[in-house]
Amino acid sequence: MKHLKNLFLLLLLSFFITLTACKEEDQQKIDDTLKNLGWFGDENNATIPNDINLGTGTVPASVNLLPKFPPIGNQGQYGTCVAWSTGYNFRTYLNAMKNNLSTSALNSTSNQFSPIDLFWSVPSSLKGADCNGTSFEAALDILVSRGVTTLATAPYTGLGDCSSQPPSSWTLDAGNYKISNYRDINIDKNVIKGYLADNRPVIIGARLGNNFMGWNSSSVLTTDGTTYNGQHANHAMILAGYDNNQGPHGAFRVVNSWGTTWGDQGYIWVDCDFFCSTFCFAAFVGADDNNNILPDTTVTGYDLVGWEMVDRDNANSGDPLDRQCLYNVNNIGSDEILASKKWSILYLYYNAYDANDYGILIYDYYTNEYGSLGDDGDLSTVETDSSKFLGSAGNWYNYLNIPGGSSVFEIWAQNQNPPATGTRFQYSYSMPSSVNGDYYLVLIADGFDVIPETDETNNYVYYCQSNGDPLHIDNGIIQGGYKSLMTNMSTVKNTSHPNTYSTKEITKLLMHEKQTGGLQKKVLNFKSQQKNNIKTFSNK
Amino acid sequence: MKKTLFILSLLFIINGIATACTYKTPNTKDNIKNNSKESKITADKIIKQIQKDEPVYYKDAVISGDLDFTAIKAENDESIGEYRSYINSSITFINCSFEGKLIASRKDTDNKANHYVTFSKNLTFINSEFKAEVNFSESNIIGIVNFAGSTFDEITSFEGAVFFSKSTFFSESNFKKELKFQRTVFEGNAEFLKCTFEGITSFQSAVLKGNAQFGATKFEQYADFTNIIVNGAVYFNYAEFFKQAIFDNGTFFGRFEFIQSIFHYIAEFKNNTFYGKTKFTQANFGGKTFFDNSVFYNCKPNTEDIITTKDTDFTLENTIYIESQKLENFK
Repeated sequence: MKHLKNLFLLLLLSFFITLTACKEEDQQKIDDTLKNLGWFGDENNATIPNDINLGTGTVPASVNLLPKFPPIGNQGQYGTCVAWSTGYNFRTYLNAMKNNLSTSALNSTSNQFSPIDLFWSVPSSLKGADCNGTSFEAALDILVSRGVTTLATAPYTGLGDCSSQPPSSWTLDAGNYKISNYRDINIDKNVIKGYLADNRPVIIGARLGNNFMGWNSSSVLTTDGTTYNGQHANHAMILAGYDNNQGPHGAFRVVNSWGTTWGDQGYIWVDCDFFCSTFCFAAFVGADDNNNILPDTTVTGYDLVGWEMVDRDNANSGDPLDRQCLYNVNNIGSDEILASKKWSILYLYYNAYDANDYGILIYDYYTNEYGSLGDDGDLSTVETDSSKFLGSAGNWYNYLNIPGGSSVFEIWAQNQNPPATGTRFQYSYSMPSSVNGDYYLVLIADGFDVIPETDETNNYVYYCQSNGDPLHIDNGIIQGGYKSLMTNMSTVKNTSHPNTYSTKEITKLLMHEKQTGGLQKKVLNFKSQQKNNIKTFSNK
Repeated sequence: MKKTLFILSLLFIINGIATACTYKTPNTKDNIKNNSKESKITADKIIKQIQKDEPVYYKDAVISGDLDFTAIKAENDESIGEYRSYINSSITFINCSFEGKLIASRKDTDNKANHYVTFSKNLTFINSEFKAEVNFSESNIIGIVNFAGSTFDEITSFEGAVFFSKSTFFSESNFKKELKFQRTVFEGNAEFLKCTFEGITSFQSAVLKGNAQFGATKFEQYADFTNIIVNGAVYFNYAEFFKQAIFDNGTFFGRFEFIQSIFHYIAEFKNNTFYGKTKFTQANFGGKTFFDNSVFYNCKPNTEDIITTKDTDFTLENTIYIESQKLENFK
């Protein structure tokens, strides 16, 4: 009897296990089906930087970037759409724009980039078996770190199960065709139109239904259901324009990779409202040569360098939000930088994955507007216009000229009576408690890019983890025991984080925000947290 | 005699009026609670009735709050992340005003689940006013559907809905904002006679298995009838289109009539297949009109006495007409 009872329990257990396994298997089958078109559907947007949104002005009624696109591609039965949208279409477009390629030139495989090379390069752990899809992040990371070779070198044949590695000759050539970065953007029709109007195609991840699958017309798609299994199918494509006069709300021109017999000769118009509300679930832009940055004017004579920076707990305060920043900036150029240039040193934080989430902590302003040569002090003691207080934790003015070969601290110290000793400034500040997430702290010499310098890239000193990872900050408190001296000169860009914001993107953001008044508004929001912080000096 | 006749006539008239009055009284069954005297009803109360499978019948009432049919518990997943509630009550509202939304379709806030509704019995909202959004997307309605004479003040969607009854009535309704009938399936006739469509209207990819009656309608904004399939006849006689009228990529198996219709702006009939007779008799074309790549299997369209303006421009690139063959020597 006892044996029977055990047998019954065993059977029950095995039935349960079988049932569970079946459910998991069914789920896996469905998941695999969804991947068939080639996009996994879920992007880890938390680790993809948002594009710095500088707002969009008026955009034209229509934009057509197709003249710089290759002919419609065909991914065949393989789940390689991500490689087609990012490698074949997007990378080819960037190259065509850069080299002003003609339509006939774009018909040549030597000017088209290879989806097989890109898909094979994605690590097996980041793609489905048997060429069954991948994520944008995986493919775009390859484009940033490795690049992609041309279809002439790597024709789209013999894909096998896509587990092969590209031959070294492909990889060698791919190094010539990297991209600089890619950025996540908001799915908003005005935002997307702004990028397209700026000649920047938008890579998209969409969820499809039967209506899309069987589309065979030049009409504007305004609706869709689900696919054969009652679910949406995830698919990667790219936008090559828009036309406000197509359909009831205007429409985006979508480039697909299903050959020319599908849709409107391989393309489709998708209604802008439907696109944003239902169709599109991921959108990215990218750049191949930092075209998201300022043009640089090379001028010999001036060159400011963020020389050193330490960020540490404020030992004099029990409040963990209170910290100290110790820094110096050198002019390694040959010419004196006059106070009349009205330049500044900024200390700020910005979100590693959304630099629109930033704040200036310290605003150290070099100007001849207040007092006389050699004077310095708290800006609020000489300035009544609060819109000029750009630092949420402190603002300082300095009437100092900085000769070539001198540091700002050195000149400041000489002007004290008696002359000060030490090697760097020490500024107490408070981190706003609203700061939550992964952030970089950065000291920027000439934060608003007022001085035309020989080298603009050496203005930055970062406070981050030793491997370039951002600091994790909870409610304004830096986590992980990073007390001080975790600084990194020039840039946080490194091999493990190739897609971080460039220093010039940060500068562009700051300049734009200053010009539009966004910076001042941000500071006012933090005003309640401002404390009386004093800039002194330190030789520690 | 005259007096007798007069009295008889009077009695006959009185009887007639009485009969007519009786006829107009709603035919309520004993188990239907007649709520016609209640003026203000909360949506929650109606949901509770539905939860008990009680018939819902209201006349001349004001319904306050959102009437959320998805609040009825879904018994099973329809698909992964897709849930469908089943409503077994008959739903009848006559001359009612809805202050809140009508929700028969919604997404969870995290976008991970969709909730839809199947109505097993009738769905009747005669001469009613909907002051907020109406959303019946992906609904299945087994019983008769009647929204005749109603006014929809805000965005209204029947996108992906399926109407199973032999006729679906929206006649003389007024849609003041955007209206979505995309992918809607009408298993029977679709009655939109004398409707006014004030907002953008889309029937893209709708399937109409019976006749489509859009006679004497007014489309004040963009009207999108692309990719539709109609098994029965299509009537847009006396319809008026104030903006673009787009009828591209359709398949029309029955008659296709736009007699005395008025197109103030662009009219597109591209890439269509017309199996039945087509009539544009006395239609007024005020702008560019496209018939490119369309195939007419049953002769050229009747375009007798059409009216054109200086802006009218017909394009007929690759348009094909297949003449009907007369049956000869057939005995």
